[in-house]
Amino acid sequence: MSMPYTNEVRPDTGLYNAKLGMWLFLAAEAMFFGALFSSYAFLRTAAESWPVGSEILPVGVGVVISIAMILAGLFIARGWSDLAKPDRGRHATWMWATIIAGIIAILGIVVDHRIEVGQGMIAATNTFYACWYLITGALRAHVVVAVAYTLYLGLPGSDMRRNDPVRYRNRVECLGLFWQFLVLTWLATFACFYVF
Amino acid sequence: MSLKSFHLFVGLLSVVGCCAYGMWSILTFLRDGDVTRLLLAVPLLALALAIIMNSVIFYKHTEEEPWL
Repeated sequence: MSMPYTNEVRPDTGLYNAKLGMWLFLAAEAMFFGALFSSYAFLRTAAESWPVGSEILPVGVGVVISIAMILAGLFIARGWSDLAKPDRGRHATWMWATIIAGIIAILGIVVDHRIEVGQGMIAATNTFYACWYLITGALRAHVVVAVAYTLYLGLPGSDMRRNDPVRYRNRVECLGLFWQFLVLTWLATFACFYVF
Repeated sequence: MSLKSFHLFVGLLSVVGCCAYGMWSILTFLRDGDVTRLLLAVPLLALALAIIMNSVIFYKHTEEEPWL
């Protein structure tokens, strides 16, 4: 007996199983990052003085990470939309472009951390750096997972693309939702730390 | 919510963010003469334009897809 609603949409929820699971996961993630950002807001408003991020952080690297993250979200969405075409369009190219953009974003965050550590600015230096290392570190871990799953779908998961194309397209859509969430989180991180 | 609507929503926010930061960087360049700010603004404004063009193409490709 096969599990119902693996590929087809359940009429009452309008979702298939994986998309429902992904939205529940994203809701949990939103609460996780929401807790981090609300802690940051509480610490910042309670502090007597707070450094201006654009003056002490390498903004150029932050802009590169932003561009890479936005492009990753854009590429995965195009990869998903190309799967609807009869010949699958340039789906594989978009998937690899997503992986490369994700890796650039990860390297950007690593470089950012190394620059600050090189200047003696570690998490114990002050509350600003403690918040910055925690939130960017958590985000980096999430991007690593997103890149790993994109790689999985691109390599061993490509069997599913041939054998069960509808299920494969659903998986790419769920992965795309996760990437979009990461883009949103990075934009919030950039605004909080690199701009204001 | 499908990837179609979520991606277009994130694209819209990205365009607003890129334009806002790009314009702020240009204003800072005009005020302080810091060329680095101009170098940051140009790719961000170009990216905003690219996102708009991509969103139009993406919407055309996914016209048949449901919004939810």
